[in-house]
Amino acid sequence: MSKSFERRLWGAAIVLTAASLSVFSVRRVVKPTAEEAPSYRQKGPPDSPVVIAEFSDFECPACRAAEPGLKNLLALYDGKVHFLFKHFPLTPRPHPWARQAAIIAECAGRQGKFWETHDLLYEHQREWADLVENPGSSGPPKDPVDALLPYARKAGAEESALRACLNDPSAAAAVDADKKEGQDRWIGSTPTFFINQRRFPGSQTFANAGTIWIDKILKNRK
Amino acid sequence: MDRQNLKKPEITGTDALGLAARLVIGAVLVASGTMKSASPSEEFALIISNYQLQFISPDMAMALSVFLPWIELLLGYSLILGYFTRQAAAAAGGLFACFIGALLSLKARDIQLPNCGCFGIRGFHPSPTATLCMDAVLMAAAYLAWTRGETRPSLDNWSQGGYT
Repeated sequence: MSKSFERRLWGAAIVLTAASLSVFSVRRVVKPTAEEAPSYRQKGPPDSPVVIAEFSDFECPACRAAEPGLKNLLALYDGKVHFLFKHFPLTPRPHPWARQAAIIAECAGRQGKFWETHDLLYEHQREWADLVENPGSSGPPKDPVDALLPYARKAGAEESALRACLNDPSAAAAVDADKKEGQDRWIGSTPTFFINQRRFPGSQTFANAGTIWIDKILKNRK
Repeated sequence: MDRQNLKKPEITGTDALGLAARLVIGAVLVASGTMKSASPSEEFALIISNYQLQFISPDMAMALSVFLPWIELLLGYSLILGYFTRQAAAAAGGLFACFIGALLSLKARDIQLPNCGCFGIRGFHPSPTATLCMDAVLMAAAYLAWTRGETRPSLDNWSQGGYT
């Protein structure tokens, strides 16, 4: 073996080692996390073979778009899927009111009205998100609570209890804890779904590959 | 001739320019490859899919999300260390041309991405125009590194028996 060739091989080894060190020094091993959420943010039997956790943002148009497909999927696998909703508000940018919307939904949840508020916030997302993004001549309400609270009220939550909850830091802490969990799980966009710990970022990925994965899990359980 | 008696050649201005180009492109590629490889590949695959390029299927996006960071890292370190410098510079130039093509196609279709994915999911997210300018400058630097070839110090020089 010529000296030149030997040195070329050494060069290849150096380049490969440097690249490997770069990858393995930063690669985060995302450890499996037990899927937990307050009972009012869960649907389906807890002992289901399939557990789906959704990290979502009430101001995110892609999350709103994912809703019909998600509802169909939950109906299709009724009784076989345990679903959990987790907050991942992208506040302050690009969604300045998403965290406040999550806190209000959380407070409505404590009155047993989480899903109703959740549905109304998504249904009317354009209406309230437009107040932030395209303020009219009167400008957006100074406090997002004024714009968002009516949806929780419409969902059946009692206003004085809602306002008391909004003053309680534990509601915001619950939202922030979910966000922290999402960051620890390296979520890069919303919605992101985890089906039995396997990641499906985006509604398209979830719709296309998620059902295949669920079918596979259910088939293997038989 | 006894190598110990050889006078170490001076580094010329042209060499210094080639070396600077090599180091800058190498550093950018190493930084972007490292940041991309830090995040779960599914997240990076979604960013690739968001470009909505018809010839990139979901499976191909997934494969790219795994291999692209490695390609960037190997090219980056090859340029920094001067290993097959001209070939690495040409490949880096090709990579930047592909990135420019993808960004121009986004602009042409008026697609806005929250994150270009240039530096992974958590890294710095430049605007599409800033990214285009950065890629154009890097492509010009890759051309410079390619024309200046095996500037010292480099593993190429060392493997040919010269000074590193």
